[in-house]
Order: sequence, then C-alpha cells, then structure tokens
Amino acid sequence: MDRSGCEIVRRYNKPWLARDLAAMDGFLGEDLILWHNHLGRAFGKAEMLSFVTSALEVLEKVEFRDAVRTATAEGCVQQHRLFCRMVGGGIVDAPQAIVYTVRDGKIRRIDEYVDGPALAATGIAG
Amino acid sequence: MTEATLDSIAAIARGWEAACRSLDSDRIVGCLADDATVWYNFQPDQRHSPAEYRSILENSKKTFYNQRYTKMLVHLHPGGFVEQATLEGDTPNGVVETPFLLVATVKGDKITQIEEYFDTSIIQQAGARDG
Repeated sequence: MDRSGCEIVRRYNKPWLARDLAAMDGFLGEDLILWHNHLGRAFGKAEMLSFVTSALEVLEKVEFRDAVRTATAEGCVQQHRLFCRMVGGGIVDAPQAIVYTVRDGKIRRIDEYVDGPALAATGIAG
Repeated sequence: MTEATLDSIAAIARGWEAACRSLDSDRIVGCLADDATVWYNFQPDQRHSPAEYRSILENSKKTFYNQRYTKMLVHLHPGGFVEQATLEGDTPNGVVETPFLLVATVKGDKITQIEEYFDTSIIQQAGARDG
C-alpha cells in the first residue's frame, strides 16, 4: 500500500510540534476539515489555524509519543500518546488516534479521537 | 501484500460490520481469535479477552439500549482495517450518539487485536455506562 500519505503526515508533524504555523499551512489543503470527536464539530482551515494558535499559547510542550502510523488507501492513521505540559504546570498524557485524508499531496481532512475528560488539564474548549 | 490478501481482509471487515450491526455479541466475538485482545483508550493499562469483551458488550446494552450504527466507514490496509463509526442508542436521559474509532489487526481469518477510541464524557453525561 502506498505510504506517501503517512510520509506527508510524518513531515507535517514536525512543524506542528515545532509550533511553526506557516510551515504547517503548507501541508494543508484549502478545503481542509478538522473534526474532533469530543467536540462534535468540524473546523475549516482558517478556524483550525486560529484554534492551534490559541492552543499553543497555553501549551508549553506537546509531543506525540510512541507514534504508530498505518497507511490506508485514503491517507494515514496515526496512533500515539498525546503528551502536553501546560504553561500552568498541568499534564495531559492520553492515547489519541488521528485519521488523515491525504489527496494530491495535501492533507484534506483530520479526524481526531481522544477521550475528552483526559484533556481537562488543557482548559481548551473548542 | 497481494490483492488476494487485501480481499480477504475486506471480507473479514465486512463480516465484522455485519456482526456489529446485528448486535449479536456471540457473532461479534466470533470474529475474534481465541487469544485476541481488546483495548480501550480510556483504560489504557487494560487489555480484555474475548470473553471479557462479550461481557462488556452485554453490559453496555443495559443502559445504552436499542443501539444502531449511523455511520461506519472502513479503511483497509494490509495488516487489518480501521473503522470510523458512530453508535447511537437510547439511555435513561435520552438518545446518545457516540462517534468512535476502531483499529483492528487481522491475522489469518480472525481479528487478533482491537483498539477502540471513545469520548467517555458523551455517555457519562447521558447517564449510561462506558463502553
């Protein structure tokens, strides 16, 4: 199975974790949809980048630990432990899975699955 | 990975979907290898046997009843399949819709590992149990 979708995701993770929004933007299609299972709503690309900007203000450190990526016909599925250290000292350490849809070299859809209560320390809503 | 192997995984995924939609716990567990394990994101240190999984399925029906799948999108890959699903059901506090992700590992003609990602707050808010 073509692993190019997972290669794009692997490369996309680097600017995400390095807080480089401009570089992140380059991996995302203009028609991007971001969906969170615990919020029950979808974001467009501009909303997503705004959301990430706000989140990074309270996240001192973010890591995707023990990441495993599985290539699918539509893109890539990544399973990892989401580790966050908040500016105020709180910690998040929770399993997370993300389904990426990749088309024409760009990420078109991101579906994130996590247990909502595990994110309580972030204080981030939406 | 040959096309035949992906075809066989597709057949197992179809069997799994049909079993899940039937809500027949014996049929669902019948898709699993005897030594299969089932893991939930909200209990990351535990792995359940097929018998324990059957019990979890049966218990969930007591407070989350009349279950039906409103979405089931399957992604195949050489080692198994990934399912994006939404399960809807009735609870003492009304109808609850819970989206979840299931990652299935397949060996031979059986599922050997299931990993499921839920948001437990959705079901807890409705007064039903996890799972």
